[in-house]
Amino acid sequence: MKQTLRRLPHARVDAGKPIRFTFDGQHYEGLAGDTLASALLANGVGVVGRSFKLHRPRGVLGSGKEEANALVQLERGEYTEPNARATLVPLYEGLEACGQNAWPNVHSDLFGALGLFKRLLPASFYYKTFMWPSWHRWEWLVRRIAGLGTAPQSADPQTYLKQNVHADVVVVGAGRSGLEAALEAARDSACRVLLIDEQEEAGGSLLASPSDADRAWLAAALREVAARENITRLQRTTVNGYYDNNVLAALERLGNHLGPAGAGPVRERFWRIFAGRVVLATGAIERPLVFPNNDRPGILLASAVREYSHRYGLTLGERIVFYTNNDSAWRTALELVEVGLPVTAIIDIRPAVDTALRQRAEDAGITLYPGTAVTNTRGRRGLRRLVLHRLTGQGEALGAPAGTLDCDVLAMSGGWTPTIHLYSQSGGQLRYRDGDACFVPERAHQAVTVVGRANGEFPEPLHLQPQWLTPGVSPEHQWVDFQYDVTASDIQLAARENFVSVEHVKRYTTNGMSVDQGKTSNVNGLGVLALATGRPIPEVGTTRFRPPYHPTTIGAYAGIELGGLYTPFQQLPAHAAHVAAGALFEDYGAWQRPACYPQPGEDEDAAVAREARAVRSAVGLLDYSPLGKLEVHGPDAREFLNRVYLNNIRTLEVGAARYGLMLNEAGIVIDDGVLVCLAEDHFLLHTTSGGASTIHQHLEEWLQCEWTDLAVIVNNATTQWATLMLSGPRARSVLQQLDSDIDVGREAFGHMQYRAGRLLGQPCRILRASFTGEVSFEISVPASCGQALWEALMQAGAAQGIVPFGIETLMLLRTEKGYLHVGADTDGNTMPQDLGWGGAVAKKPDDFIGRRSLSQPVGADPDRFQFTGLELLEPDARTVSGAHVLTAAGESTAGYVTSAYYSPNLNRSVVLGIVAGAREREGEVVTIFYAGRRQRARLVKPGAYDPAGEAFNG
Amino acid sequence: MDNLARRTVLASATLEREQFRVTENSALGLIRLQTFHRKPGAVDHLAARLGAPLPGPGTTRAGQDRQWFWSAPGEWVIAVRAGTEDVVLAELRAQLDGLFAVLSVMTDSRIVLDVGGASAREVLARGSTVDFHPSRFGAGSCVLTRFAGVPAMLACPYGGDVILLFADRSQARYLLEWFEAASVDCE
Repeated sequence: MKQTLRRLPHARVDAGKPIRFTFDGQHYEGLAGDTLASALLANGVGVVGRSFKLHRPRGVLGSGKEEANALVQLERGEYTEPNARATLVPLYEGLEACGQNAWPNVHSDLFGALGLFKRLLPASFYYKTFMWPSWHRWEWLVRRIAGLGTAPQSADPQTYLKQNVHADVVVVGAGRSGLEAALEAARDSACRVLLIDEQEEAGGSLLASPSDADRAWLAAALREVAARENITRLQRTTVNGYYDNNVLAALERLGNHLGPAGAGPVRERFWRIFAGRVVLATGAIERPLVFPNNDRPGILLASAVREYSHRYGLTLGERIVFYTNNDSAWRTALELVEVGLPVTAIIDIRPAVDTALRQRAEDAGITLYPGTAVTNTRGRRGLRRLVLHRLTGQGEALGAPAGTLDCDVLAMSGGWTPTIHLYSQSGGQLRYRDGDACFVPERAHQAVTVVGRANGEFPEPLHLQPQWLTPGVSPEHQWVDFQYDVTASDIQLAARENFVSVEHVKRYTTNGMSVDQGKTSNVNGLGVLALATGRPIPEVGTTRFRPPYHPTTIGAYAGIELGGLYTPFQQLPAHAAHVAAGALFEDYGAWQRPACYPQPGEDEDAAVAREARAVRSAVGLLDYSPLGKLEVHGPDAREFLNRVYLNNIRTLEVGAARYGLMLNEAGIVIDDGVLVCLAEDHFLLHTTSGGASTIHQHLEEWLQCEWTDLAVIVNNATTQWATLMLSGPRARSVLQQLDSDIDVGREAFGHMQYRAGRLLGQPCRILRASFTGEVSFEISVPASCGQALWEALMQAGAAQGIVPFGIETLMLLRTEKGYLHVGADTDGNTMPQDLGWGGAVAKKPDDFIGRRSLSQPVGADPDRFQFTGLELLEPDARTVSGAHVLTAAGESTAGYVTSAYYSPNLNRSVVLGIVAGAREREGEVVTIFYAGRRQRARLVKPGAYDPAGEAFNG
Repeated sequence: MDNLARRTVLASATLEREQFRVTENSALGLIRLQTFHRKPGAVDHLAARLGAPLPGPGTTRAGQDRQWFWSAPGEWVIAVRAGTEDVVLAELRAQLDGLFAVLSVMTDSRIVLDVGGASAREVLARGSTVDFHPSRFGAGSCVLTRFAGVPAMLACPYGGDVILLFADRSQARYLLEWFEAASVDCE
């Protein structure tokens, strides 16, 4: 490549603003307005990358998204980004980039010798070569040699946001067609128009036009857009996905053009766009021609040469030659001549070309080679010479040699491919247009319109003559997919091996699977496949495009949902008091709850043991607020709950509470809790902590879908109330110190009773139920009083030795007591008879949810896993939840340990489980297996602590 | 021992940026009204007793000393001055005597956030797919949605750039932290 010492005068770069950058450790200077690619070309850097498989030296091919060669590793450390397209990286001060997939650098790559073994490395050679002895033996070597860039090793420190937006009309692309569409839509002042463009500035291909008229039109259009209040512009924004219901996804680059040092608070913003109608003005991408060694640095798309010259003011070479099969490249060549660039020849595979074009070219002093093909290129790290042959007939065969032609830049054009990726994603159907050898939109599936080149509307006729590969010469080095080193011979090989479907050929050869997703290779690949299989292209078909259209930063998908905001969390009403008390918080569902309150020098086990001893011997206080509290109202409330619960609710008296089980329609236990009758038509239903929403939905589903005649209203009051559990032999005396109109005396307020009244001046609800096995009061006050109640009880209990205790301590205590924890001691098959509730089922006269399923034969299987206690027989033995209980033969699983703790009160392990046929096997010794160890245990009744149940009445 | 003191959820924690602010609105008391809407005419009977039409889906309506928000079929949230819930409750119970309607105080279960500032609608649109453009979400609008991953009701009773966000009180801290992260560019 030729270094550009002085930019052409009409370029859109600022000659007064030099910008320093480095590439592969070398220092260079570009100008404001440059991309990394244009700046490298301006500095005469020809080799900017290495190919994926063969490590062939590669130069810049295109000027935008279609770029297949100039992939660079951008920046270092935590800011590094692999596979950045140099054509899309705006130059900023201090930019650092290096080539990829090369050692020590792209200019002198040690693995470049692989190119000599091309014939040994055809498509999917790895499927055939590395079979023996195992792919994994080879994997490390292959991964070392082949690859694209290096993933960052540390977390990305940059911030990404997500944004939703609605618009009546979304226009994608701000070239001429897009700007016209946006202005047209915006004539209706009530119409919200969103105009999205991926480039650094709006204008599309107009930015590369040397025409004063084009530039004036663009400036006027942008002024009009700015004046329209109902047009919102998103620049530097790429629409990457088009989904059902006209939802689009786009990535806005807010700070990339400033680099890590200069970027603002947000690097990128991920947009979800809800569109009434979409207008796709996404333009078209020029195709390469397929000929031997067409991947040599110095060979560019003609459109890229046009852009680098007119937009960036580069001279590129000393001898620029065009090679084409259509008219558009001729016009580009003539434009270049007009600005003084040295276009020396045009080679065209067509034997005849439009007379006017031909005359203009001859007048410009350009040597013409009609009906001629390039059959080879020369030059080690950059193009030096072309080898030419005449073509016969319509280009189907090679004729006589036509000599060689010296040049340092070859601008090629194999036609144009409308950018229909988003249209394809939207579900729109395509048809193949023979005349221009391209797919164009045919029938939309959503409210989308395609305009301009994306719709195949080229400004002037192409008069294209397709040439999918060069005939008469080996296809071995005729590159189709530059990035993944797929050649015409690879596609032919796939066809020979009976890959017929274009989708299969794509995956077998990897054509179109690389970072650029085949933007320059797909149609050429189809053409080669069509020739190889003797089918017309419409019959071969095309692959369906999928999101994303262009790679999207993973950080943008994550947005702010990281770290503490990874998922929503809930906090207890007395959260601050728990923090002050030194709680060790853990996540229980979404709730942040104290697991325990370790004192200095204590680990979690020691803290739990201390708290458990205190609850058994004195009193403890637990924040129990997540306990589900659903209120059921209505004249049919009792009837409804009688159908919902396995228990008989008809006999539940006002003010009384009853423990109940809830099943789903399959008879599986889904929840348990205490149901309180507040009034004849008003019940308070407690669910497992964290289960309130699920059970609320369960109830609503039955009311709204099945029993619509029942006059019942349910509301979820869980977080209206802070609930504290005061538990232990001294609980009553602590509570009695607080001023209340509720008599909490032993005789006045018995176990499984409920009272409502006032406590320290606030409304309160107190339930006498116990999940610890000790005397317990579950005290609820309005949530805003939760912290005050916590503090009051801790103060009142200080002299009684009160301790705060956490969920892990509660779990230990209830396991000592043998209390079931639904979800922990049950699985997705547990029926009430597995828990010893078979009698209750039989006694209940009424129907209830799940009853019918309980009578299925599976419910009577004697080997059902049943809830049981397990007594470990070895002294000081311990086990864990999840350990297997083995069959008698000891070879397979016949149950599991579901809860296991070491009890500081009993000085031994307390274990619960579900074991096959456990109820009939009480006293039997079984084997527990975990992590390679076997232990003996006896099946016993659950409840090692206080089996007589005296403590909770104390 | 002293009576139990009520405390606000966020204990005066606010988010103040040049273009965006979030503050806890502790001046509102909330009452939920539910009726058995599946019974034909139930909502009409309710409105007749109340002497005013009830707001329909997606809307809110101002009364003399209270604001009504539609929150589900047959369900409304009534915002009143904090501390007057019991008075309003008694008044409503008297009006609706004999009808199957459930009234319950829900002040403690909710956090109400005033979300304001020039960037308020833009930041809100980072947490929900609701169309917050003033032409679509103007005065009198009310919507139930999933905001920042949690169930929420958003309302714009009076228009302008102040929008009320109602969510479960247990998620107040999460929402404040979410807003802080989501408005990082609003300085």
